[in-house]
Amino acid sequence: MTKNGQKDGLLAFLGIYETASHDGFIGAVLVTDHKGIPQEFRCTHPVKPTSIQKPLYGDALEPFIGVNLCGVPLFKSIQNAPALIVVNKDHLLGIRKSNSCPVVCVSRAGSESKTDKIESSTGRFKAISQATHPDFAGDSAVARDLLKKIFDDMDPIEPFDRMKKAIDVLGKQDNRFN
Amino acid sequence: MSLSNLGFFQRVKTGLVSKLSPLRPAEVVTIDSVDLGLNAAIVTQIDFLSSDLPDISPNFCLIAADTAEFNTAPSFPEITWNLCLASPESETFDLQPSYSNVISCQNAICQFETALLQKPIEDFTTWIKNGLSSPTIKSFPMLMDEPGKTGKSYVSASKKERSFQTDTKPQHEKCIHGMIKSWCSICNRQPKKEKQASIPDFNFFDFILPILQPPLGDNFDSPVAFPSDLYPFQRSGVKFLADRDRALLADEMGLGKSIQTIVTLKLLFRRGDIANGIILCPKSLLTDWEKKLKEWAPEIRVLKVRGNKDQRKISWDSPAHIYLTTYETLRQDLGNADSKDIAKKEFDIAILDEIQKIKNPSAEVTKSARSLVAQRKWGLSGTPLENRTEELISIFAFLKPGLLRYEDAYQPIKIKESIKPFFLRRRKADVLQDLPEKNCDEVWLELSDAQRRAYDLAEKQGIVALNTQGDSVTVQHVLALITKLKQICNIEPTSGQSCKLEYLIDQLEEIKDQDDKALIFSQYSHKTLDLLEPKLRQFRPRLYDGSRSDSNRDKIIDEFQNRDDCKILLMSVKAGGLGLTLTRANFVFHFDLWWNPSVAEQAEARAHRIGQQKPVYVTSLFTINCSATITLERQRQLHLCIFRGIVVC
Repeated sequence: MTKNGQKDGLLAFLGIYETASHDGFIGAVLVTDHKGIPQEFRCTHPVKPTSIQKPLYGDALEPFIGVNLCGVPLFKSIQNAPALIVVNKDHLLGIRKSNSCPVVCVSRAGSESKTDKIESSTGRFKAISQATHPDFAGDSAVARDLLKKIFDDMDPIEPFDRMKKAIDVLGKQDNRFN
Repeated sequence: MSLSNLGFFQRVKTGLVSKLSPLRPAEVVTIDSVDLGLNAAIVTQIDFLSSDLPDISPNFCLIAADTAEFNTAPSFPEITWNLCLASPESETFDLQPSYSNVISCQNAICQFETALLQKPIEDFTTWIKNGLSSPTIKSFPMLMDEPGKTGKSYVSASKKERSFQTDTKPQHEKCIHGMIKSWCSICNRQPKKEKQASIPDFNFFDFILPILQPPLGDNFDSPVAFPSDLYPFQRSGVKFLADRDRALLADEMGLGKSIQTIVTLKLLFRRGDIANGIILCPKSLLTDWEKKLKEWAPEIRVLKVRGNKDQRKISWDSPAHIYLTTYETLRQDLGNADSKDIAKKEFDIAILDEIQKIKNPSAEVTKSARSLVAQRKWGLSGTPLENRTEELISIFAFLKPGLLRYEDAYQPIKIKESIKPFFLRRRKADVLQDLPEKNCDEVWLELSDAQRRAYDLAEKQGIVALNTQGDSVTVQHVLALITKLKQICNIEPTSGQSCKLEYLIDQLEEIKDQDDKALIFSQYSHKTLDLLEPKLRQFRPRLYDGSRSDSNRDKIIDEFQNRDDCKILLMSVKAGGLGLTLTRANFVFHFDLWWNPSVAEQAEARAHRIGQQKPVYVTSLFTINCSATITLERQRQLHLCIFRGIVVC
């Protein structure tokens, strides 16, 4: 265990997904160990902004839902504190402001990205690039170390696909997630 | 106050007329002349559009109960006299729902003073506004509510979550003896028969657990997904199954058909392609399947459907990824009026292990298996063809109805071509070259004196009996005689003499000294195995036959595999010949042989399979100069001809 009750090697993947009916958003967090084995999964019921709210919020809609409405309560509810929060959309980096845990945004590295590029030493997975919240300068190094450690065993981008599939199945099984 | 200036009314009139529909007839109320108050004109209806109130001056005072008259429609009533307005009573008429309030003065003189004194009207506009319905103001909240959240920790379910998962049965439920169930010693003592595993807690989020697992790797080479590596032929077997909705995996016994199936199930569950399924297997393999599923796919929630009728019904009604049960249980439950829901269940996948169990199209187990509704149907068998090609046709009638026809039973080449896309069979010799070799041997023994005398006597008496029956003799009569003779060849019951037993004891002593173990198969539980057990006590034998309960069978297998002092396992070929893994043994003895050689091969494969470290020695015991033995050999040769024609590539 590290400080703040964070378990060594646990990663929390925070994602926000559109519902199957495209009228709402579901936030989800998947906590895994360093090999990608799921330890905990939490998701929200759909947030369905009204036709008035959509234009009023504009571009801030998805970040607001992803961070304020979904991310914050989800991280309050998880039982396994992660050592690193991984997101796949820049605007979700905002969760860092309400969380003491470093947050990193990962994406598949293009040929042009060189600075924050991380390679898998085994070559099993394609390289990724990382970004952290500009207000938390120290996060970048911490995230880089942790990502390098896990990158041999798992692809940090892949869990977002799992969450998407899981939410799709939830929607099929339970109308509350439609 | 007196209203001397009629200009006020003129303004009211002008304002109102423009708002009223010209086509709406004015309401005219008959005035009762007897009633003094009704001398005054009664304003029976003044309709105001709620969105645009008339501008009425606050300087009004009505004192004289004069008359006011209305003109007829369509114009607004013209008020010609001073109008007396008392505090009006609001009335609502259904005729004009869109105009909600009507002001009327019912008795101008009588009500005027009191009403006016009690509640002077200072501002007529406000007063009318108050009397009118307020417009509905729609509010659009800018803040979105925080959504509900749900989920599960898979490693440390909180108390709250655990209580959510479990049934909401009262904890202090009373038993039939009037005690709290968990405290009642009678209830707790009762389940002597078979302890049914309790229904596992199943959270909705357990359903999606397989999807949340890491991928298996492009070539099923994920280092975290499996307890051990798959052989290359097993990987191709997984791909074969994953690509087909209908498939018959007919690898030779011991090549890991169940493992390939479980890995494919993992794959399909993780893809989200399937959400539930059913596995049917012989009773002896239930525990084996359960263990393998737990070991290879712990994320898949398996529910073993066993126990009494009520327990099974609870199991069928409980959620699970995989329902694991036997052919017989399915037959019973589908025939049960209370369990018709099972027939309505739609599975994403149905897997029939040892699918040759449905080789007989008229058997009830076959009918019940065929009634299963599933998108994917797979069969597993090391011996899909045991006796006749009709058996294969029956199997495919479940897997892919219409693919094979019974008319084609005598065209093995055509059958082979038809099933080719759905059929995969590999042989140990081809794909598992590292597996220790299997050495088969036949030992021919001479009957002991007591056995010979008993044999000859039984043969003569049997033939005489057959002759006396004449034309009424059936095949069953002949088979009964052969069975009796074969049992005497095994062991003579009165004297207990047995040439096979003498030979076996010699062999077993050597095996014991080498610290090896042996399996001894016979088809006769009572007439052979029961008689052998006391005579082999020195080797601490375990007896495994169909009369054992599930838990007893599991215990026997566990002891044989793990206890060093347990050297031999006496097995009924029917109860123990299928599916089990008994790799601790490397000697196999067929005390007698079924006429179908595939049954013997199945039995040998319990020891000669993946996991075996030593060469396997198979010995079949025969007796010379016995007609029963000759008949057996002829049958076996005939079978081999058929089997190799279709199944063996």
